[in-house]
Order: sequence, then structure tokens, then C-alpha cells
Amino acid sequence: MGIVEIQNLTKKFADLTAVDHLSLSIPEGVIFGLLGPNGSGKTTTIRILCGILPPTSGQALIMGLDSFQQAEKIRKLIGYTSQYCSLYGDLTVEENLVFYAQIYGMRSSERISEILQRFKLFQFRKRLIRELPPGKKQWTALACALLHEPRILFLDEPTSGMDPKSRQEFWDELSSLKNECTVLISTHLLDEAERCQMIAFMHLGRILAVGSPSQIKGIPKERIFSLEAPDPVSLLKEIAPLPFVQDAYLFGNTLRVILGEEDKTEELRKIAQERNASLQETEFSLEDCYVRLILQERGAL
Amino acid sequence: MKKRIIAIMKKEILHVLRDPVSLSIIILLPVFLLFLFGYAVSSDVKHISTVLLDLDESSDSFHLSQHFFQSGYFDLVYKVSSFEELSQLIDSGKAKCGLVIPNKFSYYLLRGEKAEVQFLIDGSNPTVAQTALFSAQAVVQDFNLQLSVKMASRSGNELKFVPVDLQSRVWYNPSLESLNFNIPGLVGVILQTMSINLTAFAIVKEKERGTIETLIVTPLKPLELMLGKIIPYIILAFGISTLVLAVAVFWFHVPFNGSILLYFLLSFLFLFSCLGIGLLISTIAQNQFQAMQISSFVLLPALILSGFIFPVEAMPQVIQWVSWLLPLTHFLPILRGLILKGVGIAYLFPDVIWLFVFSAFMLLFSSLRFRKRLA
Repeated sequence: MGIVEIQNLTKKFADLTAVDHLSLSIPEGVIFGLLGPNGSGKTTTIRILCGILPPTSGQALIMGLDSFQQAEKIRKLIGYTSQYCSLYGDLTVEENLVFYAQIYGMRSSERISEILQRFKLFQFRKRLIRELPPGKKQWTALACALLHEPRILFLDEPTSGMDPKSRQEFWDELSSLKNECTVLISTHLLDEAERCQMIAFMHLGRILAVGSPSQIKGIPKERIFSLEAPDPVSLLKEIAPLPFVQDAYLFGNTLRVILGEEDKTEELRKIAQERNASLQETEFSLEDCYVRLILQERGAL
Repeated sequence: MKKRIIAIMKKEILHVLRDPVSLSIIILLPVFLLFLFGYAVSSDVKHISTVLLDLDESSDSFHLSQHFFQSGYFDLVYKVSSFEELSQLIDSGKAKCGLVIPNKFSYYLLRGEKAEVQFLIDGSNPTVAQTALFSAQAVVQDFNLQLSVKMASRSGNELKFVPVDLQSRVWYNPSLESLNFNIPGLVGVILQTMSINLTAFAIVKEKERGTIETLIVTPLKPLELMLGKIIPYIILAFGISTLVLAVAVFWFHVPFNGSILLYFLLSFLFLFSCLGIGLLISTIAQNQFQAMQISSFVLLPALILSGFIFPVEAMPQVIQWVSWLLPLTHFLPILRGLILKGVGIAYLFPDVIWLFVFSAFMLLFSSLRFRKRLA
């Protein structure tokens, strides 16, 4: 049994179903990524797991305890950072940490200076949160959530608003955490998903696929090609309506073309040559998989 | 439990200290209001501009006019020699009153006959006119009394010559100063406004920042959060109401006749009823702007209906029921009773009981709601 077990979890707000019969098992010690666009139900799921919201039906078990009924027993076992940097802007980094330490009934100031050092916040400790760069704010939020050494860490879109370098550092830090605790992180950035051991794709409150990134990439049976052309837009218009092309779309400056199970590679190669485009068979990226899963969900495929 | 409450309290104090603008408004606004009420909004009418027409020009007429202009109620702004000039000055609004002493004033007085004095009042402002009328009557009565005492002592037979003297005396506020009436009320209004707003804002701010969610996930219990947030502001509101009272007593010389201990005890009771309201607002409002709007829904009616400005007895019955519901309506008689009349708790009992019931009900209701909203 996983450290987090979600069974048939549903959450309705008036006539909106934010989470729709969701079941999920998260094994201990992994970094688990919850992926999906805004409004897919990631935040609601995390909020239910943290005991902030009661589920409409179904249940979530955190280390065997009901997330809502037994919320009080769970508090000390979990750490949480919300989507909005939930620190006190008019308090310093250190004051925020001291406050949370006291709330958790911790006395040692050693733990605070240890965590300040670890997250390279020591020289910022006397600075007010509102005067910190966004990256440092998130580090402080992470420090506050980790202060009491939780078993499970819930991070709701922690990297939004971070520059690429801070994001890189943040993920490096998360990777080093996996011996200490299980991490459930939500993001809408697919490149971050590659750094998770397990991911779940969410869409409209449901889970479309769960597994390691490589397992997910192995799901589609079709073949995918990447085309680099001088004029990708007009090429797309030409290729998309072809009967053997299942899907074609632009990805940056390259064109990605998915062929059906029939082998029509030669036809595609011909068109590519006529158009001075270089054709290459490639692997499905997480992004490709996600697009396909959503299309499947809608019944378009 | 205690440690977590203290942690919240410490944090709240830091919030207050880090925001010097709000802090100074919190402290200065009540004092500013007090001075406003003390100096500007005095409903007493004094120093009424008066024009004098003395046709007698005797020592008696001089004494009478001196009596008028030394009373403090009337200021001599013009001295004229004809009735036309006098009426012109009143017509143009340069003077509000005119005192006319006819030319045979001292003659009649010496003969022991009734001497008439004419007093003209500009009635366009009834408040001023009424005060002027009463004041003039009082001044003349006082003058009569002194005169008859003088005459009586001259003739050696006292009793016969002392005229009937209307013994009118005002209790509690002998000088009828509205300041003495207004300031105890103001203490109540300030206590109410501060405690309701500060509690509501302190909790709503946590929602606005999104930090409330993080707090829910910690082992902090709703009751601890509530107490930790409220206690610093109780102390603050209490300190400021005491400051206001101190300024009232030492600067404006409002007499404090009752028991200080009882005052603090009952203010505390009143504070709890306000905290209940503040807490309730915090469970409804999502941000500070909403909180402010909802709180003015309570504060504005309280200002008008509680008897702070207008007497409750003069309101229509239906409105009286509404005002009866407001805690301030019950706290004002307590404050005025304690400060001006110096009465004991026995006289204040019905209002005290009502406040007690209201506070208990309100605190219970809103803390249950608070709990539900949080959990």
C-alpha cells in the first residue's frame, strides 16, 4: 500500500466537478508529479490531501489515516506550500521560520540555522519576505514546510514565477530530498515532469495516465516524426489533411507528424524531400503523449 | 497550546510594529476624534455676539450689562446709541442678540418698581436662540437676586425683600456641558470600532495573504489561532480606550465619579461582545475591503441609534427595537452612569446582563462558525 492512497475521490463545487472519481496510489520515497493545465483539479486534489477541504465522496488516506476525518493526526506528518507564496511578507525569513517552528512546538534554533544554511538563505535571514526575489521566497516557503521534518511534502506549483536557473536548483534540491520524504508536486510544466519518478496526467478532474515518465512515453503505439522545414506553417497545412496522417502540429520551429499503424513512412519522406524538409523519426515526448491523451479523452482519436 | 498562542501573538505584534502608518492611525485617530468632540462639536452655545443699547447710562445699567457680558454666554461686540442701529446689526447677522436698557431703568429701580429690560434674539438658529434665552433669563435672575439682597441688607429687613427665586439646578452635569455627555460615549464608540475592525481585519488579512491555508495544515487549532489573534488587539483596544479616558479626565476635566475597577470590568465585557461581532465578520468577508463594508453595517447604525448622539427614547418604536439589539446601546448608559453619576453595579444590572448574554451568544456562534470555516 502506498503512503498516499486515493480511492474514488470526488469533489464538487456547486455544479463544477473539480475532482472526478480519482484513484491513485503513491509509493513511499518517490517524487510524484501531478501534471495538468490550470483548472485540471491539481490544487483541489492537494488541498483535499492536506485536509483543507473535505471530499464530496470517496476518500484519501495519508499513511493509512483519513485525510479529513483524522486531519489532526496527519498535521505533523505533512508539509505544504500553497500556490501563492504563503509567507508573511512583513516578517523576515528568520521570523517566518521561527513562527512555524513554534507552531510545530519545536525549540531548537539549530534546526533553523541548519535549514537556512542548506537552502542558502543564511545571508537573507534578516530580509523581509516581500523584499526577496521570487525564487528566494519559494525557498523560504520550502524551508518552512520542511522545518518539522515531515514524511510527505505537498508542493502546489512551487516553481511558477521562478527563473529557469532557480527552477533547476529547486529541482536539484528536491531530488536530494527523496531519502527524507515523499514529495507530491504539481506543475503544468512538462519538462519538470521528466525529473519526477512518477507522474500522473490530470485533465478535468480525472487521471489520464499514471507511471514513470518512460512508461508514459511508451503508451502510444503510433510512430512520430519530426520535420524541419523552411516554411513549417504551409507544410503543416499540406500534411495535416492527408488520410494516413493521424495528427500533425507545430512544436517550436519543427513540425511533429504522427502516422497511423500502417507504414506510410515513404509517402511522408517524399513530401519532405519535395519541400526541402529534413525528416527524422523520433520518440514521443511527454508533451506529445499529453496532447494525445487529451484527444483520446475527447473521443477525437 | 499556550506556546502556539504565544507564537501567534508574537507574530501579530510584529505585524502591528512593521506597519507604522496603521499603528499611528490606530492610536492617533481616537485622540483626534476626542479633540474634535472636545472642541469643535460642542453643542453648548457660548460667546453669543451681542449688541448693547444702553439708554440709561447709569451705574445700575452698567452693572446689568456687566453681568451679561461677564457671564461668558454673551460677548459685547457693538455698543450703539439708537434702536435702528441695533436692529440693523441683528438683521445683518453681525449680532445674534440685542440688549436694550431703557432710559428710566435706574429711576424705576430706585423707586422699587419693576424695571423692564428688552432682550432681542435672532431666532434663525433655534439652538442658539434657545440657549441665549435661557442664559439671559438666568443672568437677569441672578442680577435680581443680588440686587434684592443688597436692598434687603440696606433696609435691614431681609426676608421681606427677597424675591421668589426659582431654584433650578441641573444634576450630574451642573454646567450642562455637552462635553461631559459626549466623551464617555466617545470612549464606547472608539472601543467598539477598534475591537470590531481590528479582530475582523487580523483574521481576514490571513485569508487575503493565503497564509490561512498554510496554518490549517499545521497542528494549530482554530481556538488557538483565534485567541492568539484576538488577545493582542484586545490589549491594544483597551490601552487606547484608557488613553482616551485619561485625556478626557485630565485634559478636558470630565469628572470620573464611579469605580475604575468596575469601569475596566464592564469595558472588558463590552469588548467581548465586539470581538464576537468582529469574528463573525471575519468568517463572512474574504478580504479587508469586504470586512470594512460589513463592519460599517454595524458601526454606522450603532453611531446613530445607540444614543451616542440622539436619545434612544426619542426614536420611533421600531427603531428602538433595533437600537436595543446593539451592544453599544447598553454600554453607553453603563459608561455615563459610571463616569458621570458614579453609580454602582446595581443600577447598571439590566444592561450588564444584556451585554453578558449577547457576548456569550455571539462568541459561541462566531467561534463555531470560525471553526467550521477553517476545518
